[in-house]
Amino acid sequence: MFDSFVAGQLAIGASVGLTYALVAIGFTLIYRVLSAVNFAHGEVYTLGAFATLVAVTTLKAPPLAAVPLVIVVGLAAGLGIERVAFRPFRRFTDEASLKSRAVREATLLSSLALGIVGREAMDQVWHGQWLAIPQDKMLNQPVNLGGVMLSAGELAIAGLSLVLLVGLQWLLLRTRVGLEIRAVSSNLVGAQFSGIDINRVVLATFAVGSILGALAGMVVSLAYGSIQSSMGLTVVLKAFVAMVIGGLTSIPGAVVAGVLIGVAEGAASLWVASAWTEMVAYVLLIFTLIFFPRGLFRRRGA
Amino acid sequence: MLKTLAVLAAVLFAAAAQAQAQTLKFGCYIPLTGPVAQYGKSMLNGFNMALKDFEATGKLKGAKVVIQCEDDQNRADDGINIARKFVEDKDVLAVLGSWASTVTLAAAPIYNTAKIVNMTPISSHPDVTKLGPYVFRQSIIQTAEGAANAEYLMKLGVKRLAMIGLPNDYGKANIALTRKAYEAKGGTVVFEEFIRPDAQDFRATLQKAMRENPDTIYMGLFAPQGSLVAKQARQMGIKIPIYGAAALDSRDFLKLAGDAAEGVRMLLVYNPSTGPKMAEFFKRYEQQFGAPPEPFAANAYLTFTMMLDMVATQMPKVNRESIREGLDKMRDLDTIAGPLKYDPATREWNFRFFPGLIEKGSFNVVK
Repeated sequence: MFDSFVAGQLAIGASVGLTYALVAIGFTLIYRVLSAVNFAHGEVYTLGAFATLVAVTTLKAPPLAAVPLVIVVGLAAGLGIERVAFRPFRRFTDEASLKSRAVREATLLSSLALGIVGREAMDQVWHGQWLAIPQDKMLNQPVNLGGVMLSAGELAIAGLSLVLLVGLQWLLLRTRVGLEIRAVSSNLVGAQFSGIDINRVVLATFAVGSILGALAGMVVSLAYGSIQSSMGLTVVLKAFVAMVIGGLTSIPGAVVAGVLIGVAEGAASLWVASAWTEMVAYVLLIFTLIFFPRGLFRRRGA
Repeated sequence: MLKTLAVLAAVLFAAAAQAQAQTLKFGCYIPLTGPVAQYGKSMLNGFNMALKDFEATGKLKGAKVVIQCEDDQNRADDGINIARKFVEDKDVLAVLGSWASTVTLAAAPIYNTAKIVNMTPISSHPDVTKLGPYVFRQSIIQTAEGAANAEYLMKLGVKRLAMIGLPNDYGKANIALTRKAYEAKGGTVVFEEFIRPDAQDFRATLQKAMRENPDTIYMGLFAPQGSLVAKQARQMGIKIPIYGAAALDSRDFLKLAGDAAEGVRMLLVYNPSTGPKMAEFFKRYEQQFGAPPEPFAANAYLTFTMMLDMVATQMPKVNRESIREGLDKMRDLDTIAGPLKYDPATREWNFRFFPGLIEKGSFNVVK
């Protein structure tokens, strides 16, 4: 039963799952701090892809030289999103407002709205066209890894996921900024009373999270080669599902859940047509919510 | 007294204005934003070109033509809302649109009930013209494309076909009708699967297809997905030929698929390589708009030119009903796609399909 065909399907699934995981990292980081979903994250991902395209075509840079531009674009997008869609909801600093679920959940809609505006704006700039990364700039060279054929793009996606995951854990657990982020994340009011500049921490979180989102857009576009203004829409939904399955606040959990979704899609494609694998993520989500209502990887008491 | 005079003057003035210049207003619904916006924009340019060219012929005898294009965003519900608006507007004589079969199939019944002509320049689903006597098509129909695909595939000696399609009205009809015609000619379809249009990794489907040992892969897809499938097939080391639906005839496919487009075969209709008139249209379009068009611009140009030609013969007594009668009475037409014939029984125009092949980054007709 377990032949090379099955292995191939699961490997392709895992590779797709890593793209979900990559996007879920930045998405979960922002949720972890603010307990608010940033639905504009998908557009940051798209912007990262467009920045890559501009770098390799207009500026004629080699693919990896696009990184600084992508980081700048991600940073600007993150700060902009925070300023427009999140900051206004923190203007009341009394305890009741800071703890209010309604205020936090309002940002779900404001970020969604900002995402739509961003998507339509990109649509106007690039005329809704599908654009291609030139073939010689794509990361699609075959790499032979001990008999298993992988593409350079797949390795880049896997490598970047791992680096970002480890880097973030280090940032959160070993640095002062990380300590502040964790403090704000676990008790906003308490953190404020102990002298932490909340706006600064939130801005830092958005900056880091959005840079990660833009980098994800860069690597995925270099691996697959096609870019369009609505490309972030599907991915952000998958990242959202991965985050919920992973336990909402656990970044390693979101990564594992993202890969899990991809592998499950690959496994499902053994029995059903590809068009039906779309529902796999949502079936997994429903099962997780029924049997593990706190997600698969949420720490006790978190 | 003064008031009465004013009203009288206004009425006289209006009557005089009407006698001087008749205004012929057409509606159109096409996707101008969203994932297929560029196709809609190409169509819009095609309509405007047709109008300009027609004004230059002088056949309008001073009448003014207006075409009001609304954005349906490639969504059925928006198409329906636009239809309700156009039906209410008594000045709208006939409506052109849409791009996607799904949108046309949703909106056309509203025009049909309101007894106003809806003519689609693109939508190729076989059910479109069956919706009612007021729904027309001036484009290829999937039934004809399926038969022509089968003929071309048999000529190429394809014995075992793997088919990959889009799970929408267009894709399902394209796969089903091509499959039916191909199997009737003795071919075997060894694999058929519909993909997720918003996914970007189709290797799982390709791997499944290859397990059935096909000798050709058929793609009932548009350029965005078709290019990814072709690219990923070559990346996986799949060497067998790839054959695409006529909808893949798009510059987008060449641009997005790059080297993977080489050797892909498909039928060509609205392509500059099919004839000198079509080539001239593509050249003039590029001169006017600075970039070569998507083939859909040719559909739009051809359809609106035909409509204006027909309406000009009816002037000045043009109304919604006369347009339906006029369109149904047409039989022969000389167009940029060559001479066409109308079959009143099926209410379809017969377009000629040319067997095509992508070589050195361009579409070519195979002799």
